[in-house]
Amino acid sequence: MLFPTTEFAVFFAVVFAVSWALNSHNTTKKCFLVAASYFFYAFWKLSYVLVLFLSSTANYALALLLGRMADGPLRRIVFWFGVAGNLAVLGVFKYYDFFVAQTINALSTVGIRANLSFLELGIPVAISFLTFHALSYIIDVYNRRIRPTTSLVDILFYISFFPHLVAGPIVRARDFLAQTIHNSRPSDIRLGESVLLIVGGLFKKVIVANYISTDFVDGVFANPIAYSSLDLLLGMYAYAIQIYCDFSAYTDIAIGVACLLGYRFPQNFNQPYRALSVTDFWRRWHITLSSWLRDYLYIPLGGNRRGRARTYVNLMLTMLLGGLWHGASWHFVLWGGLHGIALAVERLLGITADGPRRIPAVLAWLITFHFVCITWVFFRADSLESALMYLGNLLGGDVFWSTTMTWWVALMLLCGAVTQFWPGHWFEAAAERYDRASLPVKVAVPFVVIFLVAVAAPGGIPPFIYFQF
Amino acid sequence: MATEQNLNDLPGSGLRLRVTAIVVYATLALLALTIPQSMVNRLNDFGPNAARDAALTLTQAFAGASHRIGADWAYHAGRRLFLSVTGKQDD
Repeated sequence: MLFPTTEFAVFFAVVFAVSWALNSHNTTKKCFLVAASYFFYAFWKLSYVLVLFLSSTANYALALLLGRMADGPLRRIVFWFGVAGNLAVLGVFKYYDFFVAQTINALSTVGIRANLSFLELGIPVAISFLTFHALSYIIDVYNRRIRPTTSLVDILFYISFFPHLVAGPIVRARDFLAQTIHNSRPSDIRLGESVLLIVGGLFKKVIVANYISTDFVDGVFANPIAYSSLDLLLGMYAYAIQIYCDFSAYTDIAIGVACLLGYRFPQNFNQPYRALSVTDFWRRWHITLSSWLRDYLYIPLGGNRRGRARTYVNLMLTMLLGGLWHGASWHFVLWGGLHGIALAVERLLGITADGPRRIPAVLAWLITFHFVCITWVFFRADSLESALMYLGNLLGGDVFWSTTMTWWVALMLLCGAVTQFWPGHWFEAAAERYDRASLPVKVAVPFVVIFLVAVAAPGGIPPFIYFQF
Repeated sequence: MATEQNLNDLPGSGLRLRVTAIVVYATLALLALTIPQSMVNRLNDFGPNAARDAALTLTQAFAGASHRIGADWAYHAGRRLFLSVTGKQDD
């Protein structure tokens, strides 16, 4: 079930009413929200629900065990067993076939014909996000940052809660479980913020990201040799806007929907294309993933506490694994690796999230933005070869000054770009103004925006890009 | 000292929930009234079964009523204008 669909609107209408009606019976309400979340997930494939349930239940039991055990080698073994179990689920569904293919290729280069078979299981939607949520819980329990909850319903609820289930934001167990202990407070609903996030997210996904994708980016990336260098350059910029509008739309709607149900999610994007360095970019892009990687991978690897050389190794490892997390393919690994190199170089040069001090901010922005855009080519392309072909044609194409981009796509790019450069306080100001408005205006704003989105919507809504991860 | 339960009972708290509910349901009702065809089209995408057929009959009747009172006029006019300005074609 996708957010921008009629069935989600009907689903949410029911969930909103029942959830608040049950608010004074917190456990019953959580049971209902778990059932609703499983129903939401079952829309993709019923059998995936079993993966979700078994993973949640196993992590619940493991956390209880870790909570009761005294520190020592046995507890460490149980913990690593849990980590390995979660990674095994991810590995079997997402990476097994990739590694089999790589093994067969590697052995064939030395003349050995391996007879390995592929599993071809298909990847359950949201398996990566599910694993991140589960790992965050057992790691925090192991490090005694949180006590394991004795309520299975709370864990089922934390891992499956439908707004974040499919594509984040990645919510930490300690932040979410604290909200599940008591009844939700209607006074915590931030109506203006929620409405603006939801309608803004619908506009970014249904109109901006979809038209950029179908009218320009898909064609340019499918056959780069048929396009001019200018088209390839514009295609690169266009994909940067498309992926931002697509992914940030999902998390904006997720945050808004959760808030209407009385739950708070963390911010996931903060105008990432304003970044003055790659370090700054990763503090603005998919914030919940980058902070997860920092807290659960980079710092446990030693972070910057074990000398300069080890810091660079840790940065590279974190970003390579971050790249691999996005998909079982070398172009994702290279995308992560390029960002790892950039972060290491910036650290070497003393460049912080504030950007370099010795060069003008505009130049720092230009360098950072183009680095991010070039690396998006590796992210978007179907394979490493097609990414290199794209960049090769961009730099050495026969024709430069001609473009197939329509005025409509250019307008969509402009809309996407505007979201990066308006002052940050405008959103808060607009939300406050909405909250002070009369009831008819409060209803008119979401109705008119969604109506106009529907008028200009393409025929079918493709899934969000991050659903595949 | 305010407890969890009586915080929920505060007049401002209840008012906020009521306002939120009005915004959610009024918006959805207005969208259903002005773009009823979206529900019919979506139900047509699902395979036939008793529940879907009943819902389809209901939404078709609703869409017919909406059309008779002219509530769907703005959507169709807006859609035609959008297609003519952008040169796009309906799927």
